[in-house]
Amino acid sequence: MNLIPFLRVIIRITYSEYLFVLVLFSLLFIFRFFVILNNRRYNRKEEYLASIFLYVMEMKKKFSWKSVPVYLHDPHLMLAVLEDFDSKFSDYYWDHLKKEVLEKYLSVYSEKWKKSCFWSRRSFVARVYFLDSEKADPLVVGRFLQDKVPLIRMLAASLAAFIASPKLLHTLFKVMKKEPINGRYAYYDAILNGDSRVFSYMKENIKTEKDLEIRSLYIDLLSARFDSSLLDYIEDDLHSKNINLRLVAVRALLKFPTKETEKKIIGFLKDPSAKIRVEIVKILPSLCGKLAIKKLTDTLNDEDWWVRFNSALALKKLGKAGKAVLEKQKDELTQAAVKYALSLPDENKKVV
Amino acid sequence: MKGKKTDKKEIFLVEDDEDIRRLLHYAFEKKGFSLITASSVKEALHFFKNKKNEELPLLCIFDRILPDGDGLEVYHKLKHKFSDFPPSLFLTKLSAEHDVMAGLKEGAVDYITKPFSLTVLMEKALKLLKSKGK
Repeated sequence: MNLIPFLRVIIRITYSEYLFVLVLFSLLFIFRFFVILNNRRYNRKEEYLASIFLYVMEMKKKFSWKSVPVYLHDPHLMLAVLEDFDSKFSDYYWDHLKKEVLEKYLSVYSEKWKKSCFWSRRSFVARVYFLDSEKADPLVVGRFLQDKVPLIRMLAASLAAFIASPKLLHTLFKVMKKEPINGRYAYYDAILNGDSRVFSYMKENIKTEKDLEIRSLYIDLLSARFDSSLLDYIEDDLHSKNINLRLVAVRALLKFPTKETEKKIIGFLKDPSAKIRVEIVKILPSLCGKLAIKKLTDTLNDEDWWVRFNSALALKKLGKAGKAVLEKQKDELTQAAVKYALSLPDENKKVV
Repeated sequence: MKGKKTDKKEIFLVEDDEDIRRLLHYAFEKKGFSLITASSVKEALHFFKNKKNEELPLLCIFDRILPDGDGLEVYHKLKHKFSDFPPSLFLTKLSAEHDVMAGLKEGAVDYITKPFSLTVLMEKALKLLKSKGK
């Protein structure tokens, strides 16, 4: 290795530059040292607090604040340990301990910080409400749902789905509607893991809801629960002019593939939206055997390339009969899709 | 692996959470049992490496999510290794229906999900031991 160019650079650096680099590295080192030291101190405190809680549970004693040294009276530390324990234990003694800490200590801070301008404090309040949702202030949760920090909005969404009061749910769906599509996943998660009353609310409101965005959210979420009664309410949505709503309604319909719905599903192969035609093409192999081949042969010449591509893949899934149709294709438009589908391994054969 | 070898009746626990290990250790000690604990798949398999059927613990408790694998796999391996493997419980966060069914189908006596009640767990474990005449 030729070190001469490197050495030349080093020689050219002045003493003041050396000093600057040295000071910079020393500062970085000192900063890193204090971060590690602080983390260790925090972990020790956490362990100590956990051991006090465990002692109370082991001895089946009632919790007393006298057993907690003053330097452990840190609300963030207390909340972290409480959350950790709450995910592990559900004893009578644990519930008593949790209630005691929440009522006599953490709720004081949550009351004080619910209007804080620091997002970490607002998140603290939401987390405290999670541990004791009965004491959660619906007004504060409603405000958090419209918070400017996404993390707070998502915590509030989970809380709202847990508390499940109609007013909060109304705000929740209004806020969810405004979020971009990718930002909605946390809300979906919160609602699907929330209280069953959320689904009763949606089922009740889907009958009268006029907002198309909110309707599509209701349909999407209700269909996730495979409740076939949903089909009674989406008849108009299946023919809506709004593509997104129609797509969600068709997707919901596809979750209930019965003999009655089969005809309706196949009818959507003539839908003006390619997105919807693709959805139908994908489900055809499992929906109807021989009829699927005939329909997929037609869609293989669809005007949209994505429909053609998915038709080729679907035909490949149908085994020998589908493969025969693909091999007969000579149209230039479909060639690329057909070639790709035929190159895929057969599904029923093991790939070595 | 923690827990000294004593003349006490042994119970084996695979759990990576120290708080749960400590709490169960105390609870079983109080009832006159000695709790041997392992915190990973490796430690658990090491414990059973040179054991004979007559040296097996009276009861085993397995966590599913361990740092180096699944507790269900450990149980599966041990069950096939020993002809007389003791009754076992699962104590885990995995609460989905298929997870519970996987545990029970594998042959576990019970499947307890976290957050759990210590009182209920102890009651189940002691009843199990009593029914086995221990």
